[in-house]
Amino acid sequence: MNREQQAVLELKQIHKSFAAAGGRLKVLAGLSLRLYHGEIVALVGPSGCGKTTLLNIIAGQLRVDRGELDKSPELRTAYVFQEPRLLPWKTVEANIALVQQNFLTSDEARDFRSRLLEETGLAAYKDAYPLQLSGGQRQRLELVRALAVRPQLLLMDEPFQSVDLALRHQLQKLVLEEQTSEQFSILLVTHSPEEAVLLADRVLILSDKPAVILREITISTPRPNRSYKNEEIALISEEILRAGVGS
Amino acid sequence: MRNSIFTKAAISAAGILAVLALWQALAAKYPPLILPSPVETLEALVELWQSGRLWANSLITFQRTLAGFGLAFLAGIAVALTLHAFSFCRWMLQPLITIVQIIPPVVWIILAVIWFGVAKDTTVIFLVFVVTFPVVFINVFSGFGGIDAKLVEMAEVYRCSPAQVIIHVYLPSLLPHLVSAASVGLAFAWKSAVFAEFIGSSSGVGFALSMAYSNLETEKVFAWTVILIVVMFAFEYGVLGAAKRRATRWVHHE
Ligand SMILES: Nc1ncnc2c1ncn2[C@@H]1O[C@H](COP(=O)(O)OP(=O)(O)OP(=O)(O)O)[C@@H](O)[C@H]1O
Ligand SMILES: [Mg+2]
Repeated sequence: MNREQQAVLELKQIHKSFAAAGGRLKVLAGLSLRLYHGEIVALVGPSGCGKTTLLNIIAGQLRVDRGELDKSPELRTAYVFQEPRLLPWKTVEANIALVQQNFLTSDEARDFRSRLLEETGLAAYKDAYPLQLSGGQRQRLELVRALAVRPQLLLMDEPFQSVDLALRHQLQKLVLEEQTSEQFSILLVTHSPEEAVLLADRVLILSDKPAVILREITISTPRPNRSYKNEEIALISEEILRAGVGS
Repeated sequence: MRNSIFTKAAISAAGILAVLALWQALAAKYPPLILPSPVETLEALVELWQSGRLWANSLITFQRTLAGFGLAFLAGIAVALTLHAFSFCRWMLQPLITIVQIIPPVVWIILAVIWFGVAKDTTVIFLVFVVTFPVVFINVFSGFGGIDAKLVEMAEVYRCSPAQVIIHVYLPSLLPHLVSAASVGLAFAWKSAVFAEFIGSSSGVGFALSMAYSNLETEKVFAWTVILIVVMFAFEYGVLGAAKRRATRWVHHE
Protein backbone atom coordinates (compact mmCIF):
# COMPACT_ATOMS: atom_id res chain seq x y z
CA MET A 1 0.00 0.00 0.00
CA ASN A 2 1.71 3.16 -1.18
CA ARG A 3 -0.54 5.73 0.41
CA GLU A 4 1.13 8.83 1.81
CA GLN A 5 0.55 8.90 5.54
CA GLN A 6 -0.91 12.36 5.45
CA ALA A 7 -4.39 12.91 6.89
CA VAL A 8 -6.71 15.17 4.88
CA LEU A 9 -9.40 14.87 7.50
CA GLU A 10 -9.51 14.03 11.15
CA LEU A 11 -12.46 13.79 13.53
CA LYS A 12 -11.72 13.61 17.25
CA GLN A 13 -14.36 12.52 19.73
CA ILE A 14 -17.30 14.00 17.81
CA HIS A 15 -20.62 14.29 19.63
CA LYS A 16 -23.83 15.28 17.93
CA SER A 17 -27.44 15.20 19.07
CA PHE A 18 -30.70 16.57 17.68
CA ALA A 19 -33.73 18.05 19.36
CA ALA A 20 -36.41 15.38 19.44
CA ALA A 21 -39.80 14.82 21.02
CA GLY A 22 -39.18 14.44 24.76
CA GLY A 23 -35.53 15.43 24.92
CA ARG A 24 -32.48 15.06 22.73
CA LEU A 25 -31.64 12.30 20.31
CA LYS A 26 -27.99 11.32 20.61
CA VAL A 27 -26.71 10.40 17.16
CA LEU A 28 -22.92 10.49 17.37
CA ALA A 29 -21.23 9.71 20.67
CA GLY A 30 -17.51 10.34 20.64
CA LEU A 31 -16.75 9.20 17.13
CA SER A 32 -13.20 9.52 15.86
CA LEU A 33 -11.82 8.81 12.43
CA ARG A 34 -8.97 9.75 10.17
CA LEU A 35 -8.90 9.82 6.37
CA TYR A 36 -5.58 9.79 4.53
CA HIS A 37 -4.61 11.38 1.27
CA GLY A 38 -5.72 9.21 -1.67
CA GLU A 39 -7.54 6.77 0.56
CA ILE A 40 -10.98 5.26 0.05
CA VAL A 41 -12.88 4.55 3.25
CA ALA A 42 -16.29 2.89 3.31
CA LEU A 43 -18.69 3.63 6.14
CA VAL A 44 -21.28 0.97 6.83
CA GLY A 45 -23.84 0.88 9.59
CA PRO A 46 -27.50 0.29 10.34
CA SER A 47 -30.09 2.64 8.90
CA GLY A 48 -30.51 5.77 11.00
CA CYS A 49 -27.23 5.36 12.86
CA GLY A 50 -25.90 8.78 11.79
CA LYS A 51 -23.93 8.24 8.57
CA THR A 52 -25.53 11.13 6.70
CA THR A 53 -25.18 13.27 9.81
CA LEU A 54 -21.47 12.50 9.83
CA LEU A 55 -21.03 13.48 6.17
CA ASN A 56 -22.99 16.69 6.75
CA ILE A 57 -20.67 17.58 9.61
CA ILE A 58 -17.62 16.98 7.41
CA ALA A 59 -19.18 19.03 4.59
CA GLY A 60 -19.61 21.92 7.02
CA GLN A 61 -23.40 21.80 6.97
CA LEU A 62 -23.84 20.80 10.61
CA ARG A 63 -21.97 21.87 13.70
CA VAL A 64 -20.78 19.38 16.27
CA ASP A 65 -21.88 19.65 19.88
CA ARG A 66 -18.49 18.59 21.15
CA GLY A 67 -15.25 17.33 19.66
CA GLU A 68 -12.92 18.49 16.95
CA LEU A 69 -12.99 18.49 13.16
CA ASP A 70 -9.60 18.97 11.52
CA LYS A 71 -9.93 19.81 7.86
CA SER A 72 -8.20 22.49 5.88
CA PRO A 73 -10.68 25.17 4.82
CA GLU A 74 -9.06 25.01 1.38
CA LEU A 75 -9.78 21.31 0.97
CA ARG A 76 -11.90 21.12 -2.18
CA THR A 77 -14.85 19.01 -1.13
CA ALA A 78 -17.52 17.49 -3.35
CA TYR A 79 -20.61 15.78 -2.02
CA VAL A 80 -22.85 13.20 -3.68
CA PHE A 81 -25.98 13.66 -1.59
CA GLN A 82 -28.15 10.72 -0.61
CA GLU A 83 -31.04 12.29 -2.56
CA PRO A 84 -29.87 14.21 -5.62
CA ARG A 85 -29.87 17.96 -5.04
CA LEU A 86 -30.09 19.41 -8.52
CA LEU A 87 -31.33 22.86 -9.48
CA PRO A 88 -34.55 22.04 -11.37
CA TRP A 89 -34.44 25.29 -13.37
CA LYS A 90 -30.99 24.61 -14.79
CA THR A 91 -30.15 22.18 -17.55
CA VAL A 92 -27.95 19.16 -16.90
CA GLU A 93 -24.93 21.00 -18.24
CA ALA A 94 -25.69 24.26 -16.41
CA ASN A 95 -26.06 22.39 -13.12
CA ILE A 96 -22.48 21.17 -13.48
CA ALA A 97 -21.06 24.39 -14.90
CA LEU A 98 -22.42 26.46 -12.00
CA VAL A 99 -20.39 24.64 -9.35
CA GLN A 100 -17.34 24.22 -11.59
CA GLN A 101 -16.93 27.96 -12.05
CA ASN A 102 -15.92 28.30 -8.42
CA PHE A 103 -12.93 26.00 -8.91
CA LEU A 104 -11.86 25.60 -12.54
CA THR A 105 -11.11 27.77 -15.55
CA SER A 106 -13.88 27.66 -18.11
CA ASP A 107 -11.84 25.62 -20.63
CA GLU A 108 -10.83 23.06 -18.06
CA ALA A 109 -14.41 22.93 -16.79
CA ARG A 110 -15.84 22.31 -20.25
CA ASP A 111 -13.38 19.51 -21.07
CA PHE A 112 -13.92 17.79 -17.77
CA ARG A 113 -17.66 17.98 -17.88
CA SER A 114 -18.08 16.82 -21.45
CA ARG A 115 -15.83 13.81 -20.85
CA LEU A 116 -17.74 12.84 -17.69
CA LEU A 117 -21.12 13.33 -19.35
CA GLU A 118 -19.92 11.14 -22.20
CA GLU A 119 -18.70 8.39 -19.89
CA THR A 120 -21.93 8.29 -17.90
CA GLY A 121 -24.18 8.27 -20.95
CA LEU A 122 -25.63 11.69 -20.15
CA ALA A 123 -24.14 13.57 -23.10
CA ALA A 124 -27.38 13.34 -25.06
CA TYR A 125 -29.22 14.92 -22.13
CA LYS A 126 -26.98 17.88 -21.50
CA ASP A 127 -29.71 20.35 -22.50
CA ALA A 128 -32.47 18.55 -20.61
CA TYR A 129 -33.84 19.72 -17.27
CA PRO A 130 -33.55 17.43 -14.21
CA LEU A 131 -37.31 16.84 -14.10
CA GLN A 132 -37.03 15.24 -17.52
CA LEU A 133 -34.49 12.69 -16.29
CA SER A 134 -35.12 9.31 -14.69
CA GLY A 135 -34.19 8.74 -11.06
CA GLY A 136 -31.05 6.85 -12.07
CA GLN A 137 -30.01 9.57 -14.50
CA ARG A 138 -30.36 12.18 -11.78
CA GLN A 139 -28.17 10.12 -9.50
CA ARG A 140 -25.57 9.92 -12.26
CA LEU A 141 -25.74 13.68 -12.76
CA GLU A 142 -25.24 14.15 -9.03
CA LEU A 143 -22.09 12.02 -9.30
CA VAL A 144 -20.83 13.77 -12.43
CA ARG A 145 -21.26 17.18 -10.79
CA ALA A 146 -19.18 16.04 -7.82
CA LEU A 147 -16.38 14.59 -9.96
CA ALA A 148 -16.45 17.59 -12.29
CA VAL A 149 -15.05 20.02 -9.72
CA ARG A 150 -11.88 17.87 -9.46
CA PRO A 151 -12.32 17.38 -5.72
CA GLN A 152 -9.64 16.59 -3.16
CA LEU A 153 -12.22 15.02 -0.88
CA LEU A 154 -15.25 13.22 -2.27
CA LEU A 155 -18.13 12.47 0.10
CA MET A 156 -20.60 9.93 -1.27
CA ASP A 157 -23.85 8.98 0.46
CA GLU A 158 -25.17 5.77 -1.10
CA PRO A 159 -24.39 7.11 -4.55
CA PHE A 160 -25.50 4.07 -6.55
CA GLN A 161 -28.69 3.13 -4.75
CA SER A 162 -31.15 3.58 -7.60
CA VAL A 163 -29.19 2.39 -10.62
CA ASP A 164 -29.28 -1.11 -12.04
CA LEU A 165 -26.49 -3.59 -11.51
CA ALA A 166 -24.69 -3.16 -14.84
CA LEU A 167 -24.70 0.61 -14.54
CA ARG A 168 -23.65 0.42 -10.91
CA HIS A 169 -20.53 -1.50 -11.91
CA GLN A 170 -19.83 0.98 -14.66
CA LEU A 171 -20.12 3.93 -12.27
CA GLN A 172 -18.01 2.24 -9.61
CA LYS A 173 -15.36 1.71 -12.26
CA LEU A 174 -15.56 5.36 -13.28
CA VAL A 175 -15.11 6.54 -9.71
CA LEU A 176 -12.10 4.25 -9.27
CA GLU A 177 -10.53 5.46 -12.52
CA GLU A 178 -11.00 9.11 -11.57
CA GLN A 179 -9.66 8.43 -8.11
CA THR A 180 -6.61 6.66 -9.50
CA SER A 181 -5.74 9.48 -11.86
CA GLU A 182 -6.58 12.38 -9.52
CA GLN A 183 -5.63 10.75 -6.19
CA PHE A 184 -8.42 12.28 -4.15
CA SER A 185 -9.75 10.81 -0.90
CA ILE A 186 -13.18 9.23 -0.70
CA LEU A 187 -15.54 8.71 2.19
CA LEU A 188 -18.26 6.38 0.94
CA VAL A 189 -21.45 5.52 2.81
CA THR A 190 -22.94 2.29 1.56
CA HIS A 191 -25.38 -0.42 2.56
CA SER A 192 -23.77 -2.92 0.25
CA PRO A 193 -21.00 -5.16 1.67
CA GLU A 194 -20.05 -5.97 -1.90
CA GLU A 195 -19.54 -2.32 -2.76
CA ALA A 196 -17.53 -1.76 0.40
CA VAL A 197 -15.12 -4.63 -0.24
CA LEU A 198 -14.82 -3.80 -3.92
CA LEU A 199 -13.94 -0.12 -3.52
CA ALA A 200 -12.45 0.56 -0.12
CA ASP A 201 -8.98 0.52 1.37
CA ARG A 202 -10.61 0.50 4.79
CA VAL A 203 -14.09 -0.34 6.01
CA LEU A 204 -15.49 1.26 9.16
CA ILE A 205 -18.45 -0.50 10.73
CA LEU A 206 -20.61 1.82 12.80
CA SER A 207 -22.82 0.80 15.70
CA ASP A 208 -26.49 1.64 16.02
CA LYS A 209 -27.07 5.19 17.28
CA PRO A 210 -25.50 6.80 19.19
CA ALA A 211 -22.84 5.76 16.70
CA VAL A 212 -19.28 4.83 17.44
CA ILE A 213 -16.91 2.82 15.29
CA LEU A 214 -17.41 -0.83 16.16
CA ARG A 215 -14.75 -2.23 13.95
CA GLU A 216 -12.16 -1.11 11.45
CA ILE A 217 -11.05 -3.48 8.69
CA THR A 218 -8.13 -2.79 6.38
CA ILE A 219 -8.34 -4.63 3.07
CA SER A 220 -4.95 -5.75 1.82
CA THR A 221 -5.97 -7.59 -1.36
CA PRO A 222 -5.24 -5.32 -4.36
CA ARG A 223 -8.43 -4.10 -6.05
CA PRO A 224 -8.10 -5.99 -9.35
CA ASN A 225 -8.01 -9.32 -7.45
CA ARG A 226 -11.03 -8.66 -5.32
CA SER A 227 -13.75 -11.23 -5.77
CA TYR A 228 -15.63 -13.56 -3.49
CA LYS A 229 -13.28 -16.35 -4.57
CA ASN A 230 -10.60 -14.49 -2.66
CA GLU A 231 -10.58 -15.67 0.93
CA GLU A 232 -9.97 -12.29 2.58
CA ILE A 233 -12.74 -10.63 0.59
CA ALA A 234 -15.20 -13.38 1.40
CA LEU A 235 -14.40 -13.16 5.10
CA ILE A 236 -14.71 -9.39 5.24
CA SER A 237 -18.05 -9.28 3.45
CA GLU A 238 -19.35 -11.91 5.80
CA GLU A 239 -18.23 -9.84 8.74
CA ILE A 240 -19.96 -6.73 7.41
CA LEU A 241 -23.13 -8.72 6.87
CA ARG A 242 -22.91 -10.10 10.41
CA ALA A 243 -22.77 -6.56 11.77
CA GLY A 244 -26.29 -6.29 10.38
CA VAL A 245 -25.78 -3.38 8.02
CA GLY A 246 -27.00 -4.86 4.78
CA SER A 247 -30.50 -3.60 4.06
CA MET B 1 -51.26 19.35 -29.13
CA ARG B 2 -52.00 22.08 -31.67
CA ASN B 3 -55.29 20.45 -32.37
CA SER B 4 -56.40 20.52 -28.76
CA ILE B 5 -55.54 24.23 -28.46
CA PHE B 6 -57.86 24.93 -31.39
CA THR B 7 -60.54 22.74 -29.87
CA LYS B 8 -60.31 24.62 -26.59
CA ALA B 9 -60.43 27.99 -28.37
CA ALA B 10 -63.47 26.85 -30.35
CA ILE B 11 -65.27 25.75 -27.18
CA SER B 12 -64.46 29.08 -25.47
CA ALA B 13 -65.73 30.99 -28.50
CA ALA B 14 -68.91 28.92 -28.53
CA GLY B 15 -69.46 29.78 -24.85
CA ILE B 16 -69.04 33.50 -25.49
CA LEU B 17 -71.38 33.35 -28.49
CA ALA B 18 -74.01 31.57 -26.39
CA VAL B 19 -73.86 34.30 -23.75
CA LEU B 20 -74.14 36.98 -26.47
CA ALA B 21 -77.19 35.24 -27.93
CA LEU B 22 -78.82 35.00 -24.51
CA TRP B 23 -77.99 38.65 -23.86
CA GLN B 24 -79.56 39.65 -27.22
CA ALA B 25 -82.69 37.60 -26.50
CA LEU B 26 -83.15 39.13 -23.04
CA ALA B 27 -82.41 42.65 -24.30
CA ALA B 28 -85.27 42.34 -26.78
CA LYS B 29 -87.66 42.02 -23.82
CA TYR B 30 -86.46 45.00 -21.79
CA PRO B 31 -85.95 48.69 -22.51
CA PRO B 32 -82.31 49.81 -23.16
CA LEU B 33 -82.28 51.68 -19.84
CA ILE B 34 -82.51 48.32 -18.03
CA LEU B 35 -80.62 46.13 -20.46
CA PRO B 36 -79.06 47.51 -23.65
CA SER B 37 -78.51 44.97 -26.42
CA PRO B 38 -75.06 43.93 -27.68
CA VAL B 39 -75.60 46.11 -30.74
CA GLU B 40 -76.45 49.17 -28.64
CA THR B 41 -73.41 48.52 -26.49
CA LEU B 42 -71.26 48.32 -29.60
CA GLU B 43 -72.70 51.63 -30.84
CA ALA B 44 -71.87 53.24 -27.50
CA LEU B 45 -68.33 51.86 -27.77
CA VAL B 46 -67.91 53.36 -31.24
CA GLU B 47 -69.20 56.69 -30.01
CA LEU B 48 -66.77 56.69 -27.08
CA TRP B 49 -63.98 55.78 -29.47
CA GLN B 50 -64.84 58.56 -31.91
CA SER B 51 -65.15 61.21 -29.21
CA GLY B 52 -61.66 60.24 -27.99
CA ARG B 53 -62.90 59.64 -24.46
CA LEU B 54 -62.35 55.92 -24.62
CA TRP B 55 -58.65 56.26 -25.11
CA ALA B 56 -58.14 59.29 -22.85
CA ASN B 57 -59.94 57.78 -19.84
CA SER B 58 -58.43 54.33 -20.26
CA LEU B 59 -54.96 55.81 -20.41
CA ILE B 60 -55.46 57.78 -17.19
CA THR B 61 -56.78 54.72 -15.34
CA PHE B 62 -53.97 52.62 -16.77
CA GLN B 63 -51.32 55.05 -15.53
CA ARG B 64 -52.80 55.21 -12.05
CA THR B 65 -53.08 51.42 -11.92
CA LEU B 66 -49.46 50.99 -12.93
CA ALA B 67 -48.23 53.63 -10.47
CA GLY B 68 -50.10 52.11 -7.52
CA PHE B 69 -49.26 48.57 -8.56
CA GLY B 70 -45.57 49.36 -9.13
CA LEU B 71 -45.23 50.87 -5.67
CA ALA B 72 -47.13 47.97 -4.09
CA PHE B 73 -45.00 45.42 -5.95
CA LEU B 74 -41.70 46.94 -4.83
CA ALA B 75 -42.93 47.47 -1.28
CA GLY B 76 -44.36 43.94 -1.15
CA ILE B 77 -41.02 42.41 -2.18
CA ALA B 78 -39.03 44.65 0.16
CA VAL B 79 -41.22 43.87 3.17
CA ALA B 80 -41.29 40.14 2.36
CA LEU B 81 -37.47 40.13 2.16
CA THR B 82 -37.18 42.00 5.46
CA LEU B 83 -39.55 39.65 7.22
CA HIS B 84 -37.71 36.67 5.81
CA ALA B 85 -34.34 37.96 6.93
CA PHE B 86 -35.37 39.23 10.38
CA SER B 87 -37.94 36.90 11.82
CA PHE B 88 -38.64 39.12 14.82
CA CYS B 89 -40.16 41.70 12.41
CA ARG B 90 -42.66 39.03 11.42
CA TRP B 91 -44.54 39.16 14.71
CA MET B 92 -44.69 42.92 14.47
CA LEU B 93 -45.61 43.42 10.82
CA GLN B 94 -47.72 40.43 9.91
CA PRO B 95 -50.72 41.39 12.09
CA LEU B 96 -50.55 44.93 10.67
CA ILE B 97 -50.65 43.62 7.12
CA THR B 98 -53.62 41.42 7.96
CA ILE B 99 -55.40 44.46 9.42
CA VAL B 100 -54.72 46.49 6.27
CA GLN B 101 -56.20 43.65 4.28
CA ILE B 102 -59.29 43.25 6.45
CA ILE B 103 -60.33 46.94 6.33
CA PRO B 104 -62.86 47.21 3.45
CA PRO B 105 -61.77 49.29 0.43
CA VAL B 106 -64.71 51.67 1.04
CA VAL B 107 -63.09 52.77 4.30
CA TRP B 108 -59.78 53.34 2.57
CA ILE B 109 -61.35 55.42 -0.20
CA ILE B 110 -63.17 57.60 2.33
CA LEU B 111 -59.91 58.15 4.19
CA ALA B 112 -58.05 58.77 0.94
CA VAL B 113 -60.53 61.45 -0.10
CA ILE B 114 -60.27 63.05 3.34
CA TRP B 115 -56.48 62.94 3.34
CA PHE B 116 -55.63 63.66 -0.30
CA GLY B 117 -58.78 65.36 -1.59
CA VAL B 118 -61.18 64.61 -4.43
CA ALA B 119 -59.94 64.58 -8.01
CA LYS B 120 -56.33 63.93 -7.07
CA ASP B 121 -54.23 61.19 -8.66
CA THR B 122 -52.82 60.47 -5.21
CA THR B 123 -56.24 59.44 -3.93
CA VAL B 124 -56.59 56.74 -6.59
CA ILE B 125 -52.98 55.61 -6.38
CA PHE B 126 -53.23 55.36 -2.60
CA LEU B 127 -56.24 53.06 -2.80
CA VAL B 128 -54.59 50.92 -5.46
CA PHE B 129 -51.52 50.63 -3.27
CA VAL B 130 -53.39 49.75 -0.11
CA VAL B 131 -55.46 47.08 -1.82
CA THR B 132 -52.61 45.59 -3.88
CA PHE B 133 -49.77 45.61 -1.38
CA PRO B 134 -51.03 42.81 0.91
CA VAL B 135 -51.76 40.62 -2.10
CA VAL B 136 -48.23 41.02 -3.47
CA PHE B 137 -46.67 40.64 -0.07
CA ILE B 138 -48.50 37.41 0.75
CA ASN B 139 -47.59 35.83 -2.58
CA VAL B 140 -43.92 36.75 -2.40
CA PHE B 141 -43.61 35.85 1.27
CA SER B 142 -45.08 32.41 0.72
CA GLY B 143 -42.50 32.04 -2.05
CA PHE B 144 -39.69 32.37 0.49
CA GLY B 145 -41.16 29.45 2.41
CA GLY B 146 -40.86 27.37 -0.76
CA ILE B 147 -37.11 27.84 -1.13
CA ASP B 148 -35.49 24.44 -0.71
CA ALA B 149 -32.92 24.66 2.09
CA LYS B 150 -31.25 21.52 0.74
CA LEU B 151 -30.43 23.31 -2.51
CA VAL B 152 -28.97 26.22 -0.56
CA GLU B 153 -26.82 23.74 1.38
CA MET B 154 -25.69 22.12 -1.85
CA ALA B 155 -24.64 25.52 -3.21
CA GLU B 156 -22.73 26.25 0.00
CA VAL B 157 -20.88 22.93 -0.10
CA TYR B 158 -19.68 23.85 -3.58
CA ARG B 159 -18.58 27.25 -2.25
CA CYS B 160 -21.17 29.43 -3.98
CA SER B 161 -21.07 33.03 -2.78
CA PRO B 162 -24.18 34.65 -1.25
CA ALA B 163 -24.68 36.49 -4.55
CA GLN B 164 -24.55 33.21 -6.48
CA VAL B 165 -27.02 31.65 -4.06
CA ILE B 166 -29.43 34.56 -4.54
CA ILE B 167 -29.13 34.52 -8.33
CA HIS B 168 -29.14 30.77 -8.91
CA VAL B 169 -31.27 29.44 -6.06
CA TYR B 170 -33.42 32.19 -4.50
CA LEU B 171 -34.52 34.09 -7.58
CA PRO B 172 -35.48 31.11 -9.76
CA SER B 173 -37.53 29.60 -6.96
CA LEU B 174 -39.20 32.95 -6.27
CA LEU B 175 -39.90 33.72 -9.92
CA PRO B 176 -43.21 31.83 -10.25
CA HIS B 177 -44.39 33.54 -7.07
CA LEU B 178 -43.36 36.97 -8.38
CA VAL B 179 -45.28 36.32 -11.58
CA SER B 180 -48.37 35.16 -9.73
CA ALA B 181 -48.05 38.14 -7.37
CA ALA B 182 -48.01 40.37 -10.44
CA SER B 183 -50.96 38.58 -11.98
CA VAL B 184 -53.23 38.67 -8.92
CA GLY B 185 -51.92 42.10 -7.89
CA LEU B 186 -52.65 43.69 -11.26
CA ALA B 187 -56.22 42.43 -11.27
CA PHE B 188 -56.75 43.92 -7.80
CA ALA B 189 -54.99 47.14 -8.81
CA TRP B 190 -57.09 47.65 -11.94
CA LYS B 191 -60.39 47.02 -10.14
CA SER B 192 -59.54 49.24 -7.20
CA ALA B 193 -58.39 52.06 -9.51
CA VAL B 194 -61.80 52.03 -11.23
CA PHE B 195 -63.52 51.90 -7.84
CA ALA B 196 -61.50 54.84 -6.50
CA GLU B 197 -62.22 56.89 -9.62
CA PHE B 198 -65.91 56.12 -9.34
CA ILE B 199 -66.04 57.63 -5.89
CA GLY B 200 -63.30 60.20 -5.69
CA SER B 201 -62.08 61.39 -9.07
CA SER B 202 -63.01 63.55 -12.05
CA SER B 203 -61.28 61.51 -14.72
CA GLY B 204 -60.61 57.92 -15.73
CA VAL B 205 -62.78 54.94 -16.53
CA GLY B 206 -64.32 54.89 -13.04
CA PHE B 207 -65.35 58.52 -13.35
CA ALA B 208 -66.78 57.88 -16.84
CA LEU B 209 -68.78 55.02 -15.34
CA SER B 210 -70.17 57.26 -12.63
CA MET B 211 -71.15 59.87 -15.25
CA ALA B 212 -72.89 57.26 -17.38
CA TYR B 213 -74.65 56.05 -14.26
CA SER B 214 -75.94 59.47 -13.19
CA ASN B 215 -76.99 60.31 -16.76
CA LEU B 216 -78.86 56.98 -17.01
CA GLU B 217 -76.77 55.92 -20.02
CA THR B 218 -76.81 52.22 -19.32
CA GLU B 219 -75.35 51.33 -22.73
CA LYS B 220 -72.22 53.32 -21.78
CA VAL B 221 -71.94 51.45 -18.49
CA PHE B 222 -71.93 48.28 -20.56
CA ALA B 223 -69.46 49.73 -23.06
CA TRP B 224 -66.97 50.68 -20.32
CA THR B 225 -67.38 47.26 -18.74
CA VAL B 226 -66.45 45.66 -22.05
CA ILE B 227 -63.31 47.78 -22.13
CA LEU B 228 -62.36 46.77 -18.58
CA ILE B 229 -62.77 43.11 -19.50
CA VAL B 230 -60.69 43.46 -22.67
CA VAL B 231 -57.83 45.21 -20.86
CA MET B 232 -57.68 42.57 -18.11
CA PHE B 233 -57.74 39.80 -20.68
CA ALA B 234 -54.89 41.40 -22.59
CA PHE B 235 -52.88 41.60 -19.38
CA GLU B 236 -53.57 38.11 -18.15
CA TYR B 237 -53.11 36.24 -21.39
CA GLY B 238 -50.64 38.48 -23.17
CA VAL B 239 -47.99 39.84 -20.86
CA LEU B 240 -48.42 37.61 -17.82
CA GLY B 241 -49.10 34.41 -19.72
CA ALA B 242 -45.77 34.74 -21.48
CA ALA B 243 -43.99 35.58 -18.21
CA LYS B 244 -45.57 32.58 -16.48
CA ARG B 245 -44.45 30.19 -19.19
CA ARG B 246 -40.93 31.58 -19.03
CA ALA B 247 -40.77 31.37 -15.25
CA THR B 248 -41.69 27.68 -15.21
CA ARG B 249 -40.16 26.56 -18.49
CA TRP B 250 -38.18 23.85 -16.72
CA VAL B 251 -41.33 22.11 -15.47
CA HIS B 252 -42.70 21.44 -18.92
CA HIS B 253 -41.50 18.74 -21.18
CA GLU B 254 -40.37 19.74 -24.62
N1 LIG C 1 -31.97 17.60 11.38
C1 LIG C 1 -32.36 16.60 12.18
N2 LIG C 1 -33.17 16.83 13.21
C2 LIG C 1 -33.55 15.83 14.04
N3 LIG C 1 -33.18 14.55 13.90
C3 LIG C 1 -32.36 14.26 12.87
C4 LIG C 1 -31.91 15.26 11.96
N4 LIG C 1 -31.12 14.67 11.04
C5 LIG C 1 -31.09 13.37 11.36
N5 LIG C 1 -31.82 13.11 12.46
C6 LIG C 1 -31.96 11.80 13.13
O1 LIG C 1 -30.67 11.34 13.39
C7 LIG C 1 -30.56 9.95 13.15
C8 LIG C 1 -29.45 9.69 12.14
O2 LIG C 1 -29.83 10.19 10.88
P1 LIG C 1 -28.93 9.99 9.58
O3 LIG C 1 -29.66 10.60 8.46
O4 LIG C 1 -27.57 10.50 9.86
O5 LIG C 1 -28.92 8.41 9.46
P2 LIG C 1 -28.23 7.49 8.36
O6 LIG C 1 -27.24 6.64 9.06
O7 LIG C 1 -27.75 8.30 7.23
O8 LIG C 1 -29.46 6.58 7.90
P3 LIG C 1 -29.77 5.94 6.47
O9 LIG C 1 -28.83 4.79 6.29
O10 LIG C 1 -31.17 5.46 6.60
O11 LIG C 1 -29.59 7.01 5.46
C9 LIG C 1 -31.92 9.50 12.67
O12 LIG C 1 -32.60 8.92 13.76
C10 LIG C 1 -32.60 10.77 12.24
O13 LIG C 1 -33.98 10.68 12.48
MG1 LIG D 1 -28.32 8.53 5.30
